Amino acid sequence: MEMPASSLDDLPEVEAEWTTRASEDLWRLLSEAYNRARATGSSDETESDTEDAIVLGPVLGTSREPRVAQCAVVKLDGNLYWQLTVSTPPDEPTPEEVTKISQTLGGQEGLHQFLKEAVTGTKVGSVSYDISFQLRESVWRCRVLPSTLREVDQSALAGLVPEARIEHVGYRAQSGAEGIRDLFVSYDHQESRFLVNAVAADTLELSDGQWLPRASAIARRIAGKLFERSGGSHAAEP
Amino acid sequence: MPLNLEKGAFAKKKRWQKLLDRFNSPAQVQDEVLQHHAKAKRHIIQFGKVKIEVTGLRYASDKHGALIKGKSLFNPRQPKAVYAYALDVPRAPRAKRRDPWREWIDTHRGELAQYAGSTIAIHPIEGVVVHAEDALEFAEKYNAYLQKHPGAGKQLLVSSGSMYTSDE
Repeated sequence: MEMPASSLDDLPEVEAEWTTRASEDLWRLLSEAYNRARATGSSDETESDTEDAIVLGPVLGTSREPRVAQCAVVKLDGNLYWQLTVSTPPDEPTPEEVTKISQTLGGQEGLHQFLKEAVTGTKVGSVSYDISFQLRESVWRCRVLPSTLREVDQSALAGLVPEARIEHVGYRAQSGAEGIRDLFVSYDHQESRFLVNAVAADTLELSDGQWLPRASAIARRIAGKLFERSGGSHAAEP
Repeated sequence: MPLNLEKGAFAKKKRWQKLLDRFNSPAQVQDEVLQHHAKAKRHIIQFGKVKIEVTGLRYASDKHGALIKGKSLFNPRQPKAVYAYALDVPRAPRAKRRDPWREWIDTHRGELAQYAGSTIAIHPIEGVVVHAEDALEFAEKYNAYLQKHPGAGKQLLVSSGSMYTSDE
């Protein structure tokens, strides 16, 4: 049974990066989209402060996926370096300028469509996903943290912090499931929460209505393996 | 890579203004994006004893963002030899950092001319510490050097071909 993304306390925040070859047509499309959005903003400047970088967004998400996304593209040496960040919107009221920029870019659907068209017919290498999410201790139990000291820790820490417990652990793999290469889990005893950060290399997938489905799947996989609902009867194996 | 509690889902306070600043000033994002890409690619560079076959490589000084071209270090006769994955670190166009290897190269171009066509490893102070005419021989010498100088790998820049031959 796969853990639904909505069962996480918060949807994961993701920074996805990939590279494509640059083309004049694509850069022109990017520039035009940026300039249209720029014209709706409140900035006094009408020109970008660089010819080699473009930022599309913030773009507001939908009620199904209430996120804010921003896509930065840098042109260098015949390549385009893409960075798509999808995160939780700030708590502050949404400024009118943000709403206008988002509308001009067509919102989530518009930016999504733009990205799909941009990578169509272009070789996209491995995508690096930097994924982070947190889970409340009141709801979740972590299978690996906090934990007692291992034998090697006891030996090394004797006379230093002998009564310590392990609250942070990091794993590195050359080819983990879902392309996971780095996985960090931390128990924040002050805020009573678990923090998870993973770096994975996977394919770029842009499906309708969802920002980065591969990143969501990776987060679910991690959560399903490492966590279970407090009480223990709802272990969510992917 | 430590867990960054100020980043992503763990950041305590998020501001719309930060997103608007990025939108209004792409130049400030430019270096960040390139550095993140370089960091992501560095995840796949591995120097270690792993049995893997690699061909057609590029080597880079990931500390300095310089793009260095090179060839495979994999030695099929010695499968546990030091190897490198391919990587491509984009040059950060605005970064103006001191590059000790570049400084050594710029002041020793005459000496470097004798290594034209060879694969070399450069130490920023000691200069060329390993050189060989083919990658296999180089891998053996490079391994031997690292055994004598544990931890020195981080101080070496590996270059192949005539990239740094003298133009004087």
